Amino acid sequence: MSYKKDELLNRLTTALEQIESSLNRAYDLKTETLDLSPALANTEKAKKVASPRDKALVEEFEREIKKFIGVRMTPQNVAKLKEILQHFGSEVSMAMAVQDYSDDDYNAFLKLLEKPEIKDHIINLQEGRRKPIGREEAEMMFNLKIIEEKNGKIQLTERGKYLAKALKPL
Amino acid sequence: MGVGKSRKRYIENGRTRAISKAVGVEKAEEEFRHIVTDDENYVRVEVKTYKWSHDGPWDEVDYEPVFWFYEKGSNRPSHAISFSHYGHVYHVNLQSWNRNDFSARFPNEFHTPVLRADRIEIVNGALSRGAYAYAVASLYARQQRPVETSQVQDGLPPNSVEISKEVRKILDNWEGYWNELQER
Repeated sequence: MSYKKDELLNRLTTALEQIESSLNRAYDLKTETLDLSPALANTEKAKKVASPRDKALVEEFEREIKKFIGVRMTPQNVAKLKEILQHFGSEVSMAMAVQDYSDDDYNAFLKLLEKPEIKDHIINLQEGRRKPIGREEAEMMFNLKIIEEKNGKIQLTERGKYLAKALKPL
Repeated sequence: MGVGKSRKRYIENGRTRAISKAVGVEKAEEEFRHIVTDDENYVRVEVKTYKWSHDGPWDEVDYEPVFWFYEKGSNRPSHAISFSHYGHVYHVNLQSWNRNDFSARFPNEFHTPVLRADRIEIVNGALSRGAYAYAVASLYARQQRPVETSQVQDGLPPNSVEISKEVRKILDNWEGYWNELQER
């Protein structure tokens, strides 16, 4: 088995989208059960390119998702599934954000997350609101390639967008 | 460290029987305390297992062992290795070791130890790195505090074969890990 993190994360992102879409379809068509097989096919493929530890995480997610196979999607079950999707989705988004960091950058990133105002800064930028930010935090975000300057404007990088997606539900 | 002597004392004083008995079984009966002494060094490796009842979507009881490394003459650990959903995490130069710095993986769920350390290393996993960072973000964004009801159990009761193997491997090679941690 080879460990391919890009493929792993892309497969998981696709699986999450497929589950979300099955959930929406069930809601629109008023069907009572979900078709989770396309998503599970992707998680299966993801496991084949995962490291042992990541594989354990994917398996844990699969175990939870499989509980919804053939189950009537009551509002309560929908809420439960949405919660699982949101948490796992945040972990995958965060993984997308940090996957190419060196160990030093990863540690600097963890320190950045300890700053209470960071979440608001990121969300503000994502929503196009530009509010003042401390110099130290701004420098850290530039160094960690979370934000960039483009056409004289500060904006989120691709990495920053993944980070915003992970932080928003918190 | 005088490896030969340490190893000798370890074998003499360590609870090797208990280790083989506990690793891979459902519940351990006793705490492992590895005391290694020689003329120059004194290192204690202590394994404690934290049992968590999840109240998030992952509704299971979980056991997570943490290896605490104590330096000579110190009663507070300097480094730790934890096992969790994130995998095998090195915590180097612990900043706060006695405050139950347990972070939530999910809202309202205190789960995996996130020990405050100068440096963290997640071994072997892009998704695990993301999951760990999310737990840290969750802790700080929500300003969560540990819940007092979490149980701390002594011993090594990993319910996962995979964790058992990792724990076993570290126990077998703990001196190497200790030296490696000190170099980080």
